[in-house]
Amino acid sequence: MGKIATALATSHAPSIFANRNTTDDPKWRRIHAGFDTLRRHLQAGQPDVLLWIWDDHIHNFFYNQFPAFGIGVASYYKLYPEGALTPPWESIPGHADLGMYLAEEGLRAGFDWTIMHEAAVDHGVTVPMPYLCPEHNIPIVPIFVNCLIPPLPTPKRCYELGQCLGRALQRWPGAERIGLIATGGLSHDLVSEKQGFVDEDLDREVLRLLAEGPRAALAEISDERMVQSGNGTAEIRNWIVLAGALPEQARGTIVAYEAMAIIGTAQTIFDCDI
Amino acid sequence: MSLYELHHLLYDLRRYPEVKEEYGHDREAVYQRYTLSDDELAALRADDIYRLHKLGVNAYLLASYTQMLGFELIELGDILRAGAEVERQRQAQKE
Repeated sequence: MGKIATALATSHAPSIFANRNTTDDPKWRRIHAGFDTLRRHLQAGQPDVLLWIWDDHIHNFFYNQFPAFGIGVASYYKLYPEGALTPPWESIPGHADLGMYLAEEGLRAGFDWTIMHEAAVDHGVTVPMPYLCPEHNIPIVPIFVNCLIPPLPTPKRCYELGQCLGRALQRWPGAERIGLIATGGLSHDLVSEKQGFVDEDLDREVLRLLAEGPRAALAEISDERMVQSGNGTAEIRNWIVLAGALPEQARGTIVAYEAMAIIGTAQTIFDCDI
Repeated sequence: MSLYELHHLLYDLRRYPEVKEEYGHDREAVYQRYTLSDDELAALRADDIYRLHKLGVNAYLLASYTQMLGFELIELGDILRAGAEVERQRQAQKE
């Protein structure tokens, strides 16, 4: 039976990469230390496969067709070239069998998502992965959530997708230890008059619910509240999917939160092996 | 469909190196392949980021485009706030 062995959530902002060597700013020092914690947490969980929940940044999808949810069922994923942001890797392995199993389970549960036999990963994966898994050798199943091109899936539906994934993973007949990773957010508003405004209130409320519960309350955060917070704050949806997938007994710990120049940058780990 | 066409141009500039390369030396040839409004063309020709933003361009596509033009993401907030202030003053003078 599949076992959700570990989980974490982290921002994936390109500013993380841009400041990878920044040591004279205490905020960045704390974020770098946070990634050390996340990496140790992931290694301790010994996952054999990673369910990676993030939003495509208009690379795999365009306005001609942008699914609310997508799932990758490929045996590998190329890296979408984003200049210096993109590590010099050929590809990242995928777990095709688990991907297809979850795709089918999702359809049975009423999630009519886009099933992707080919996809590229962008900075939603390639910014955090060098910190979390520099060997990039753990197969992933990418879960795409539309966070960028309205209308977006509701937070409630995101949480329900997470619950569907959690139940399906418990029934997965394989022996793999499964890691859940969500990336994105938290609050930010890009290329606007509001750029630079970080909604600490919302960010800290999200983190509080993840750490203290009830996690189901994340499903009640309104889309309007996220829009008010910023055009990129919708990426909190990825964290909400993860929250829905977590085992009931999982305990969250906030590793770091910093209101950076453009984005609320956060890291959280979850103990699932309880 | 016009904003869709504008988004298509910005998407293609980001995705296809050959489109980006052509845009570097012959923008008008690239514009002709998309159905763009007069306002959109004016904003593109002037590198008017504020006008592109007000036309409704998706923030992520606009971020990529402005970086292609040589802007740093961190400075865009100030640029757009300055653009908004100019517009407010223009409106105030009309009134």
